[in-house]
Amino acid sequence: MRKKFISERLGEFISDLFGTGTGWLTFIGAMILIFYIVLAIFSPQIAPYNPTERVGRSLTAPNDQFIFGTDNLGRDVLSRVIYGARIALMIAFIAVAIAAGVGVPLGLISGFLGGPLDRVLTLIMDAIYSFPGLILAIAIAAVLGPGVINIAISIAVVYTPTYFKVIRNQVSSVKSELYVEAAKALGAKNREILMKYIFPNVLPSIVVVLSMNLADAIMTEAGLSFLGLGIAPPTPDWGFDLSNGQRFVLSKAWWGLLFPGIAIITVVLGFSMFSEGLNELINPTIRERR
Amino acid sequence: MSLKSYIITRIILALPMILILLIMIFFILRIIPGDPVLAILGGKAPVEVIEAKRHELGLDKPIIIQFFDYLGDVAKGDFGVSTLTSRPVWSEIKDRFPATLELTIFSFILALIIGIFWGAEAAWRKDKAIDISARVYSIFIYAVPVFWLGLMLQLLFGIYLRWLPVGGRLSPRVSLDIKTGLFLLDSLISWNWEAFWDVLKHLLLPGVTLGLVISSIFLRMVRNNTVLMLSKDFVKAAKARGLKPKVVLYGHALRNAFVPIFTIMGMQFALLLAGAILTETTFSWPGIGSYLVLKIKYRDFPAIQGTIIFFAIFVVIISIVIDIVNALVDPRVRY
Amino acid sequence: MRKFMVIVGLLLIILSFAAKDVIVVGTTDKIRTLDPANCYDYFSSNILQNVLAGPVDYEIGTANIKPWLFESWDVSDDGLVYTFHIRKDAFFEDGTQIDAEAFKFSWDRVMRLNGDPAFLLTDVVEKVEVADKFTLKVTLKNKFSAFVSVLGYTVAFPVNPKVYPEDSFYEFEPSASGPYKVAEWIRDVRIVLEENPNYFGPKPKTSKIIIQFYENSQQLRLALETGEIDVAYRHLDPRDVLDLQNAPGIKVYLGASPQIRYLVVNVKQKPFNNPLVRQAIALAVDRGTITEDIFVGLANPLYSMVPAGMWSHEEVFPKRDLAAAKEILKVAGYSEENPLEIDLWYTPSHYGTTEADVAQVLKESLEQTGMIKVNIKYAEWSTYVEYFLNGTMGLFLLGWYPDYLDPDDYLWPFLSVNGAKSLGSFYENKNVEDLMIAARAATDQVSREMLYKLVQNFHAAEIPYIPLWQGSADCEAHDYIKGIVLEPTQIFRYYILETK
Repeated sequence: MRKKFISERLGEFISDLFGTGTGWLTFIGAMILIFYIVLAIFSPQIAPYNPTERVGRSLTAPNDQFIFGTDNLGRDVLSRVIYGARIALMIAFIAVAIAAGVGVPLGLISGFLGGPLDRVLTLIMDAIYSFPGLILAIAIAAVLGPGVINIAISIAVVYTPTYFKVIRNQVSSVKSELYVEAAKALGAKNREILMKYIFPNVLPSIVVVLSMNLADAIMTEAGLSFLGLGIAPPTPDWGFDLSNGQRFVLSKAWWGLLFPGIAIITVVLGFSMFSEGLNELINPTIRERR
Repeated sequence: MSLKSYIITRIILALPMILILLIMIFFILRIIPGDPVLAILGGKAPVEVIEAKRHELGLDKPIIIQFFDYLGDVAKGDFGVSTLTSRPVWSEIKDRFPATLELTIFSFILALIIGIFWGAEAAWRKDKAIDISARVYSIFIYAVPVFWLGLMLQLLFGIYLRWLPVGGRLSPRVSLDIKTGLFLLDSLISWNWEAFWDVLKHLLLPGVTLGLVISSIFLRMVRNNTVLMLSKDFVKAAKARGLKPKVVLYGHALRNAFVPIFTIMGMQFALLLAGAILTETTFSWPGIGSYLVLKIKYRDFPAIQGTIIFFAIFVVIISIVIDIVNALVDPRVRY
Repeated sequence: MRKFMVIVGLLLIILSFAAKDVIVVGTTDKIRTLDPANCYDYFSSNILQNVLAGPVDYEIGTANIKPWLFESWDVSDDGLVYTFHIRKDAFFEDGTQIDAEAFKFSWDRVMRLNGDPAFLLTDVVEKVEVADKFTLKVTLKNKFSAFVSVLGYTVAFPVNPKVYPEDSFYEFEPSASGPYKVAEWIRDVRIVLEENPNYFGPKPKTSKIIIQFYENSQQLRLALETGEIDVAYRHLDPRDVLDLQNAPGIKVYLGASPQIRYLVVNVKQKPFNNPLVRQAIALAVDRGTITEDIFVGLANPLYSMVPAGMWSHEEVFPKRDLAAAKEILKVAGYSEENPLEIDLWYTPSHYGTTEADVAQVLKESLEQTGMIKVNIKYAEWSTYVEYFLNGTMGLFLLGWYPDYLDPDDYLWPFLSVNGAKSLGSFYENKNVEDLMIAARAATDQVSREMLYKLVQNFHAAEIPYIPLWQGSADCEAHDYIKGIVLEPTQIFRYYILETK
């Protein structure tokens, strides 16, 4: 049985509440996504202040000037939340790209060629897969040290086996289809068969897994940086800001905790709604299969 | 295949998995820039002392030799000695593990209770407020990072209301005779009500945090299964026999809902462990999750390796156990 | 149910009365090991200092050495042979006498096991001999006037030969010889100290001390505010200390701390090999914002490596002067269009949670020149140590906690060639080293003081380190607790605490 993505679970929960095939949910998800992507791209234009600069008194409660308040170094929480979208999305996209970039080719090759290579790869991937993802990501993040790419890699390692498994299983079933056999009989090269006949077949699954993977990547990134294994401060980062904010709970500085958290939640919800919709659109049968 | 050979095959299949993890973890950790000896002696000790220490820890040997040394030790149940504390890693893990176990068991039970009762009631009054709220709750809870939920509960119940402690396991003035390391159990064994109450208060916030996070999946499962079950003939028959509605609900519906719960338990387990690490860090719960985070800060190789291998073995054992229980409970599982 | 509540209530009342002779101390520090041979961190030593008796002690509240297990000692004329006379009424918890044999066993053991603090003895001690049952003869490798000060550290505290294994570290409760014994030890949860009836010295004022371990400042503070603990010792965040200063019923004690914090400048690395760059940075750093904003006044700006309050201290570094910094940067060829680009390194957990904030303030203060662009980088401690040893980092935050209280320990480790190498500045100046060697050999304090002032001035001219601030030690307690003394030696004595 496959571990489920956060997006899938949330998708189930959401369709429990609103019923399936609700286009407007996908629409809302897409809107949230666009909202955050716009925030990420245009953060310098949108954010009222420089997120790494002292602009007010330390720990100012939300007021007219700082609508989300300021943190312990007098930095504007709103600006940090806006810039935080940049880091969160960037790491998530890179991580997913790496995971797919490694998992998909390996899955294609493994599934297509079979044999001992397939067995070894499957064993390794299963080993990684059976392990709690966060613990693995923690270990790798600790090894690689801070930095956007490094964090993305640690997250990617966790999800690579998912791509591998999904693709490998599909390839091994597709490869015995008639038209592939036919192409083989006609003397097509392996490479050609893979690219022409098999890859287009598994492409929809890749897209679906990619979109579902994003929410997980964001959640994992937030967890890593909450544990102090994220990117280097003072770069704004939701998870890091939450752990930083925890130092001032006794000063009742709730604003430093509330807003980054809400950002994480909404972004995860947005991704989930969107990917669930995408899932139904591209791959209407996948619901039955899981 | 008999059950016995199923179990044996299952265990044999698990071995290469553990070995692969061992290899991965060992070599990954050796790439780290950062020397554990330097981390301890921190630029104060002379070079000879550092060299001597490195030699003592075997860090000057070729990495392959180090690996086989390590494999041999692990096979003997020796997880090495923490470079940070000079204590055997195994005894440190043993000290810390009960805390994690207590937290996870508590959370798991809590999640089951929430899932079963709310789920059953929601199914009973389908599409009423209690049902809608259950579904909204599930969505919200699942999208929330566990540490954020913890922080919010901490802020509300610990800081503003001051009802509950926000960290630790036991108040300083409360004495407790520790036998199992599961403080709740220890206090019950010794009929120490003061300690029991104190331990429970400490356990409540982290336990609830982790429990809530995993409850949504149970909730959905129980609700949907019960809805299905309630429409079936045997439930209707029971109703027709004049049984009380609640008896029908909890008696028949739940018993039948339990089987799929076992099936997803294995899946939940990874979530539970990952959640435990974050929860432990949020609430300073002295379990192995926070232990791992602490040791990573100091690049305590043997301790990190030991903990991760411990996790690996633990995960494998649990999944074997769940598979076996599954096979016993659910006749559809073929072995 | 009601009856039950009444009983519980009664129990609680009885307990709160019975608890009169107990003081609960909370900390976020950790005990690493209670074996003196391997103990080289603050809090482990702190426990040992209350549980074991050492060769020498300090008079309470001062840095003056006084006899403890050693009643007196003689030094040979060449300064190489020390003869110690051990008191005859000292015993371990189990009744074993503390004699010269015990000392020899312990010190040989320290040197043989070569644990973390062992170099404090191995660097100095040639051999340890038993002259008679109560006389110990120690031969040094070189003349070393601070030797007796080293004996004040727990590495020299004798351990019970009947309990401690000869050839491995001991990981359990120590066999007590001091005012307290360890009654209960649940790792990372608490350690309970109870009066040691076998101790030759005065009885502790409070017979039972519970030390409870917390993970972070917030929890420690909350525990103090709710009365779960009576005393909070070590590591409340500065902001929490500030808040507690205004809290009713709670008293905040502040004392001197020998710890100094500074920036290390790798003088071999570009662009820091340019003295002008170092000067500009030294002029631009804003110590005031660090001490006032981050440490809310609990730390003081530092303008020399020798901390203020120690003899020979001189403020050799200039006060902040942005205009001068800009001028120097211009001379060095930098401008607003062509700014100096540098990396500033820090390590996030080793020096507490405020470290990231410090790096941030430093970055801002340097960038206020308009001609410097700072990238903040960080690495976890072990990586960090490796980076500074191999010269990867050019400008980074570091701290120093002295092994003995003498200007020598604030200068020699930094400015001697080997010392500078081990701290990542790679500073080399034979003249400075010679001055320090001369100061080590000098016997009168006046000439030593003169020499050390000279060394400080050399340092300020060449800037391999930029001193930033010196911390203060703090302790917070309910106002009914008496006897809290924050000593210059940083020894925290639980046995003089009492409840009013």
